[in-house]
Amino acid sequence: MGAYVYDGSFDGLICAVKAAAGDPAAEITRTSPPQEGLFSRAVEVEASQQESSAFLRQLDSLSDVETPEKMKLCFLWNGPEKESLLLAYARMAFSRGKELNNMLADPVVARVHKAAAAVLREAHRLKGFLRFSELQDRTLYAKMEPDHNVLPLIAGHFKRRMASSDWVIHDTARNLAALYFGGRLRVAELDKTQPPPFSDGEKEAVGLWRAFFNAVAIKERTNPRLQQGFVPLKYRSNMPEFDKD
Amino acid sequence: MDLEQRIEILSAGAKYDASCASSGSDRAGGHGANVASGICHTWAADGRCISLLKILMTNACVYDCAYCVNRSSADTPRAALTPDEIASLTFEFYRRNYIEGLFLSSGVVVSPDRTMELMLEAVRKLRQEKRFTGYIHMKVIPGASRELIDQAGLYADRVSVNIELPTSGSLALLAPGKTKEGILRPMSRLAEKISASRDERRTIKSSPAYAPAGQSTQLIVGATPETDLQIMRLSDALYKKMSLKRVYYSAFVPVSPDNRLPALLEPPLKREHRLYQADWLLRFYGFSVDELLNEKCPCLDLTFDPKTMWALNNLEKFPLEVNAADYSELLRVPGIGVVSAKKILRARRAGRLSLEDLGRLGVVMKRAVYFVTAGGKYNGLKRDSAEAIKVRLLEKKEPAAQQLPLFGTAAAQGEL
Repeated sequence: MGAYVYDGSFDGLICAVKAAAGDPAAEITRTSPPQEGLFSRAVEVEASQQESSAFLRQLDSLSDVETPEKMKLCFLWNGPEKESLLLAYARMAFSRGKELNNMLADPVVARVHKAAAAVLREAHRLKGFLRFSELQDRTLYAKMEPDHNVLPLIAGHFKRRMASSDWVIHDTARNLAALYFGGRLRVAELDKTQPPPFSDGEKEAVGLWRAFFNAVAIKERTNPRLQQGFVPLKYRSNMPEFDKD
Repeated sequence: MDLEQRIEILSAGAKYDASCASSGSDRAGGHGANVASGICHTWAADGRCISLLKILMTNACVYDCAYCVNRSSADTPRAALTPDEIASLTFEFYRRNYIEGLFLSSGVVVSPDRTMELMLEAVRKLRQEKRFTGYIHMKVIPGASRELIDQAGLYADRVSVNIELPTSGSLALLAPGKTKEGILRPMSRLAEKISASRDERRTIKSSPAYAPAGQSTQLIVGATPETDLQIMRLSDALYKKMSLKRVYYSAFVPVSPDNRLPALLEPPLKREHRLYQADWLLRFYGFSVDELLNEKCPCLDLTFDPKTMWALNNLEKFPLEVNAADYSELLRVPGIGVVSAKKILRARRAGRLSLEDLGRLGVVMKRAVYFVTAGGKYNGLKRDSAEAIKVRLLEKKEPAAQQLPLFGTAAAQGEL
C-alpha cells in the first residue's frame, strides 16, 4: 500500500494520480504526510507541468476531452476525498475507455460530473453576486469567500466585462486575488488586508442600489424562502443590498 | 425630490413588468459585455430575479388604465429621471456588478412620440456617450410613430410592447386609451425589423444588429375573465406569428380600487405559475396547446402541473420503457426534464438503465415512478388509475414543491 503525497497544485495532483494509477492500494494525500503504517510508504510526487499535461492528453485519447476538463473542475472543488475520486475516475478511463463519460449512472462518474457541475454553478452564481466597490483611485475592489476555488473560472468573464477599468477580485477564504491593472490580468496571493478607502461616490451608489432593490419587490408576493433558495445566506455578507442597517 | 426618492418611486412603478431576462445577446467592445445565457445578480424579497435596473423614465401618464399603478387618476407621487440621470445610474450600477443592464419603461407624457424621444435620448446617451455595451431592454410605447419605433432596436438588445390584456374586449373595458390594433401594429413592425436584420447579418456580418435578443411581451392574468385556453392560444400565436422570444404572465395585483376589477384577496400566483409551466411545455417540450387544454377543460389544474395532468389523462401511453423511448417521449414523462432526458440518452450508450440509476441521472422519481419501466421493472401502482396516482402524488408532495423557481429567471432553467 502506497501513500502518494502532492504539493496541493493541480499539476502535482495529476502527477500523483498518474503515479498511483497502477497501484491498486494507493491513496493520495496533500502535503501533510500520512501516518506511517507498518506496510505503508510515503512517496513524495514532484509536480511537473510537462508530465501532467502528457497524462491529461493520454486520458483524453483513451476516453474523450471531457475527462481532463472534469478533472480540472474537480481540482477546484472543495469536497471530501477529491483525490481518491479523481484516482478512481482516471483508472476507469483506462478500463472503460470511450464509454467513460457516458456512464452517468456509475457512482464514480456521477460524483465527478456532479462535483464539476457544482463548481461551475458557483462560478456562474458569483458572476452575478460579486459586488465591486470603488476605491479612491477608481480601482474596483470585490471580496468573496466561495465554497470552491472559482477565481480562475470567473476572472476571464470580468476581464471581458470590465476591460477598460482596473479591478481586484479577492478570494479571502484562500488569500488569493485576481488583479487586473492596465489591461493585464494576473492571479496572486493576497492576504486579508483591509482595502484602501472607498471613493466619495461609493456610499451614494450603494444607497441608490439599496433603494432600488427594496422598491422593486412586490409586497403582495413577498416570499423569503424562494429568495433564499436563489441567494443563499452565505453569499449575502458581500452583497450590500442585504446589509442590515 | 432627491435622486434616491425618485428611484424608489420609479422602480416601484416599474416592478409589475415581469421580464428580467438578460440573455440572448453578446455585445462587447466598450464598457460591458453580454453573456448569452444571461446572469441574475440578485433576487428581490418577492423571489423575483433582478438582472436589470428596471425603472420608469417617469410614472406620470396621460392614460387611465384601471389595472395600472400609474393610472392618471391615481393619487400617487409623480417623479421623472432625465436621460442623463438614467445613463449615469445604469453605468455606475453596471461597473459595480449590480446589474447586467437597463430595462427602461415609462408612463406616457405629453404624447407617445414625445415619450419615445426622451427614452431614445437616454439609451442613445448610454450607448454613445458612456460607450455602454451591456444589456438594454426597452419598452416601445404604442402609438409612437414608426420612425421612432424603428430607432429603438438600434440601441436596445430586446424590445417589447405589452399586450396587457388577452382580448380586445378586456382592453376596451380596462384600458380605454389602448386598442389591440394599436398594440399589435408596433409589435409586428418590430418583428419585421428584427427578422430583416437577422437575414441581412447572415450575409453581411458587419451590418448593425437590430434588437439581437428579440422581442417579448407581457399580459396580466386574473384581472379579466379570459380562460387559460384563450391565453395559451394567444401566446402560441405570438410565438409562431410574431416570433416572440418570451411571453410573460403577470398575476394581477389589485393596485387601485375600481368597480371594473375583480375583488381578489391575493394575486393568482398559482395560476401564473401554471401558465409559465404550460408555456415551457410549448416551447421546450414539444406540446401543443390542444394537448394541454380544450373547450371542455379550458383551465389549467391548480393542484397538479400541466405535464402531470396530461400524463394522467393519457395513461394508455404509459408506462414508458426508459431503455427504449426516444427523446421526445422521455420529455413527456412527469419528473423528466430536458437535462435528465439528455442524460438518459447518453447513459444508455454505456449500458442498460435500472430504476435505481434514474435518480442519479436527475430524474424526479417521486413523480416519474408511476410512468416508467426500466428493463421491464415497474415500481408504480399495481392497479393504475389516474385517481390512485393523484392520491399518491398528493401524499408525497412536499411543501417545498408548492412554488417552483420558474418565475423570472434569466436562463431557461425550468425542469418540468
